[in-house]
Amino acid sequence: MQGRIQSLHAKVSILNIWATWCIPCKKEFPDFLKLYRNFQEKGVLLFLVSADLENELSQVKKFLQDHGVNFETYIKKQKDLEFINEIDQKWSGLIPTTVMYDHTGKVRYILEGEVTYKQIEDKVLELLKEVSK
Amino acid sequence: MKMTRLALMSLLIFVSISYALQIGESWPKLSQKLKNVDEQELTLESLKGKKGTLVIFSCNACPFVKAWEDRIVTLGNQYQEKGIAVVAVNSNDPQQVSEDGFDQMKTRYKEKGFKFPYVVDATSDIARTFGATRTPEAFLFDAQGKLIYHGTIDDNAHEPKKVEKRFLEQALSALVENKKIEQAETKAIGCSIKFRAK
Repeated sequence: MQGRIQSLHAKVSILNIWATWCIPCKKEFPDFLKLYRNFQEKGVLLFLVSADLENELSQVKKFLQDHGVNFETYIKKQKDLEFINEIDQKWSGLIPTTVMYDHTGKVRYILEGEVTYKQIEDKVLELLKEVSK
Repeated sequence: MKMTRLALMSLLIFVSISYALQIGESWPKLSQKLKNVDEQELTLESLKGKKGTLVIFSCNACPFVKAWEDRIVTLGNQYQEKGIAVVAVNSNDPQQVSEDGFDQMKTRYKEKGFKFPYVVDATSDIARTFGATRTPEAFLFDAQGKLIYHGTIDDNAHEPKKVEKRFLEQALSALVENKKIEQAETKAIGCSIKFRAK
């Protein structure tokens, strides 16, 4: 995943790990879409990674469709522990989690648990500021 | 020089996780009352076992708890008989997750055949003190009250037949047989604890 993120050279990349069964994920989900709409043109990319099981794919697709997601998203295929370590060794596995990468593709924030629009926006602005320096 | 640079770079990563009890740390002292599903009021101190204590942060709603629950109950019942005190703690706020109400806990307790307490952490402060953040999350203490294992149940929540590493069972067995725990800290996907507001 990090390789994909690095290859796209975004100014800021946000990776949100969510699942259809996760209440706080569903709560924060619209905020991520709003943030993406507001910052996409400024070089911010959003990667939505579902931690649902592959046999729950139809529910995942329905949820994405209901929220008007019309860009590429991802679903976990690996075993849980492999998935955790591929995202980041520092991640405990808690869902939801948001990982934020700077313009060089390095992980800068791992935010475990539900976040607000403001929390993410503040970090996006901070990381964007670094690029303009 | 290369090592120093790497160390400095890693400082730039901010991980917003709460501080969890570390291996070797002591059993926390808290006077908060914990209501068991049999309506009895217990304290954390009264739950402590002479040979060791297993605390599992659990709940009714999380699909990962549901996937592991039969294994958790089997292990808990089995090791309680071997002298390890076992307790499941529900720290979720039922106002956020209605499935985590007290009556639903009672039902689940009966359905699954728990032989150990399943208690309500009515302020979520037990979870805060342990630094537990997800369900299920296990903390195993030895007879002296030192944390000797922290983490998950095994390496495959959804496919019990494909489990290769039984982390918690190995730790419990090592405690009972006075052997070394192979992996004292493990992680797994889990649901966030729905903390009550302070």
